[in-house]
Amino acid sequence: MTEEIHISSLLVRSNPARMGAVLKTIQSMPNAEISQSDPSGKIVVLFEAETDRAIGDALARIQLLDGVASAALVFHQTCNAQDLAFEEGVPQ
Amino acid sequence: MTGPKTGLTRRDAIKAQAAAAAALAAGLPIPAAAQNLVTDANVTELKWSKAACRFCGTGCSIMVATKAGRVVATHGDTQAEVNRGLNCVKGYFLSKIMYGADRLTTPLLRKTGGEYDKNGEFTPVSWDEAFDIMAEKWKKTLAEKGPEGIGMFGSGQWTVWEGYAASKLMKAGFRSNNIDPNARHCMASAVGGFMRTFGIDEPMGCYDDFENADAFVLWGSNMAEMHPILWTRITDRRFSHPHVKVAVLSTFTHRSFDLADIPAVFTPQTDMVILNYIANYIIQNDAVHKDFVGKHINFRRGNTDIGYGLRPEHPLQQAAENADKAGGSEPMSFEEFAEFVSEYTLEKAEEMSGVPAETLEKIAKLYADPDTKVMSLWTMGANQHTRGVWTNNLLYNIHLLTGKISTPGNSPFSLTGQPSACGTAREVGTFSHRLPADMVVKNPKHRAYAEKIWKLPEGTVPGWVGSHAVKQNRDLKDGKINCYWVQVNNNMQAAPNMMEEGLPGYRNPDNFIVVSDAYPTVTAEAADLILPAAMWVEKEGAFGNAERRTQFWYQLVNAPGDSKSDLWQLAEFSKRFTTDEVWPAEILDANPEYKGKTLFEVLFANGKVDQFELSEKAKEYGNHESEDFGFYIQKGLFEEYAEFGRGKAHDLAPFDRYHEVRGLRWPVVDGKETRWRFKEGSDPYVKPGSDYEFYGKPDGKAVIFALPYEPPAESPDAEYPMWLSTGRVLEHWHSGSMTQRVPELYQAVPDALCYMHPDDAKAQGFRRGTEVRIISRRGEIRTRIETRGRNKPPKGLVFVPWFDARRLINKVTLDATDPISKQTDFKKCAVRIEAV
Repeated sequence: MTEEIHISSLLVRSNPARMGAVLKTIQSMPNAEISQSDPSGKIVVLFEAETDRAIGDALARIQLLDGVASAALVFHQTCNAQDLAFEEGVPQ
Repeated sequence: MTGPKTGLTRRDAIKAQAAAAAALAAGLPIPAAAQNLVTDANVTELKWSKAACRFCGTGCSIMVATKAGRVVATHGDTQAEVNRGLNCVKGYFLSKIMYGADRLTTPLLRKTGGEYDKNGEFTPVSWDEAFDIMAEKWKKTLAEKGPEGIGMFGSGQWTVWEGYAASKLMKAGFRSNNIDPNARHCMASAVGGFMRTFGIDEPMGCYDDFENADAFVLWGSNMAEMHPILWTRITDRRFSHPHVKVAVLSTFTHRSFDLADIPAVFTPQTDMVILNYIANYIIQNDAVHKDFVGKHINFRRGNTDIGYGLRPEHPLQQAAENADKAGGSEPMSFEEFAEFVSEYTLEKAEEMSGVPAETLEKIAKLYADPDTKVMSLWTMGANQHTRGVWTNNLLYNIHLLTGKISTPGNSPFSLTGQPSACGTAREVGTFSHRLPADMVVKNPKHRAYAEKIWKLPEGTVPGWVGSHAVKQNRDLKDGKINCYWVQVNNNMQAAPNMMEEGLPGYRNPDNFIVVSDAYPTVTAEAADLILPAAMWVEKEGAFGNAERRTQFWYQLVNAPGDSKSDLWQLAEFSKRFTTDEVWPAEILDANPEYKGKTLFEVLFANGKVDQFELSEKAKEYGNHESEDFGFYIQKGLFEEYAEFGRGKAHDLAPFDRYHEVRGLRWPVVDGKETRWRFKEGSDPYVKPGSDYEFYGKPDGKAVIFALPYEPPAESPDAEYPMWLSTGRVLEHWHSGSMTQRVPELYQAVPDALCYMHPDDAKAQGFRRGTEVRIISRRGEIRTRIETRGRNKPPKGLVFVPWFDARRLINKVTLDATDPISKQTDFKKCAVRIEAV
């Protein structure tokens, strides 16, 4: 049973000419979900994971991808997994 | 139990909020589901407040969420002009830096058998016992040696009022100018450059230049890793405006090169050759802005052969002709200057720097082309340099020759490393030679001005220049300073040549060393007394960033255990001394009303600092210092401090305004901040009709300096054939005392590796991962070889980051400093690498 859920969002600035490949790589990553992208190269990525280490690892990986010029975190919240599960009617 | 009536579960709500925050930051449309949720506290049950990020000098504003007395979430502040809702990886983990398992919560004194013993074990003690022994040691040293026998080492991570209180306690209370900040290691050359060229500190431009420049030139800086949020602004500009060019110069290839249209790897120290070549190119190609130069510039020839800031008996110091007149200069004409730089030809620059001629020309053209607005950016590469002040001067030269300064996008911009290197170390003047608002202790008028504001007797503030950072370590080793207090920094790890100069001073039996920190750093472990510090939002604070922006935050949570802010520690300690114990009889005889008073009474309960009632502080936030002292001490200190700069081109707004806004860039005149200084129309201090006025200088003219290339203090030779450069990586900040407590950051880059060119590795029979010794004339460390990392040195150079407390690269580095700024050159010394 996990105790925490971490939810965060990330703004990635990719080289517009290479955004396709960047999107594909991010889509293949566990815990990552593409919320939005824009032809100028901007990509909004959402993460939900049981540890923030998973998010940290994914962030470091994205930041070092070819075609990514910068990656910045926007939001991070730590939630109690029990609370979320209880509210959603599936106590663990 | 079901979710809220919107049909969204709380998980959905939080995810929508996360997506909306990112979309807002990107300037993208906000997803419909999230539009009403962004600030709906009911959904997330959190209390959100603003704070300035605690890490680098960018000065991002962060929204911090607290719940049940704990920081649980952070996100970039969408209302902040600096970061517009973004947050880098360090800012991301801000919510965790206060919760490391080894957080210090009680004072710890080295004891054996219940008594203080320099070689004893750290033992928990009360604040009373801690201050008792401290006061005993301080009083003994003051009686025996006077104010020269005590010292303090602070930081660009002090809040504004902490640095101000420390400076006032040392310079006015104890009458000792032996106080210096660790900003000496990072910003002193930048300060020296500003003061020499402009006569006033800090950049004339601001971050708005990022959206206005046509070209960016990075002089050594790796902004992609060190200033990621500002780098995002450059990448935005570059990708959305195809004409924009980015040039990146460094002694090794790093992450910022990915965006470089013009990459250049140069031989260490030859940045000075390239800069002089560009000045020569501008002159040879008739690109000098003659009207600007004629009206606003003086030319001066700087003294040369100025030594390397080593101990006076060092052969390099003995050989230097102008070691004692390093800052001197004499006037010259434009024609003489043109003649001076004419030897820096393209051929010479190519040969010395190793950068191809066509690359050098491309960079020179960015500056020479009158239609290209250029922003130059630099940090430690230019500053941690035995000719750091010169290098800063040379950078200003090429902007001044072309008039590319003080207008949007034309900006020589000295970035900073620490969150308040500008706001505290520089503006408050916590250096051993400075007072607030660019004043200096050597100037009797400046001392008198300070004494008047501080309501202290004439002659209280001493006129001798105190020991700077590197000299403090030498003085500790030599037994000249015997009582030493270190706050908010990890200088044992950060200072150069630690085995020969750092550690011997701390462990000198004659010395008593006190370290205030939140964590048991290498420095704390080398001390005799450790004081637990409240950090970041555990106290009300203020920082000043690299673009002159002053930002405030409230105390959002309580500090753990008995830990207290540095401000509390300073003010509380001052209660243990009376003027009779620390001031000479002649001052007290001439001013008998000060007799018998405590330093707390004369410095803090002086009718000014204590003028604001406790009831004036924000009701919904705690304030542990003010609650203890019975008055709003932060407001009192700030308003007293602000008196120094108001009307003197350093104007700060009233205290309360900063709690309302996302910072303001000084000078703040008639309620309005200043974006570009020295330019008529944007700077209220410029006289009407003058167009530009460099009012830091008496005649309103900035100075272009003729300064040659001079070799570094140490270069590779047969015995030590490799250059060593040190620096940082994205995942760690400075010495890692906070970031290494965040497992995610630590995991990403656990150990400081030795980045090496694959050919060099092969030639010595090393493979990636081979364990090696890095050996210099001063010491050695062990680490492993990395040939494939994102830092790619050229042949002949290795790069080692310095965050790793188990691989202390400062055992190897050289304590050569810039003779003018006294800042250490951490970027170049000679080493050899051997397999273990």
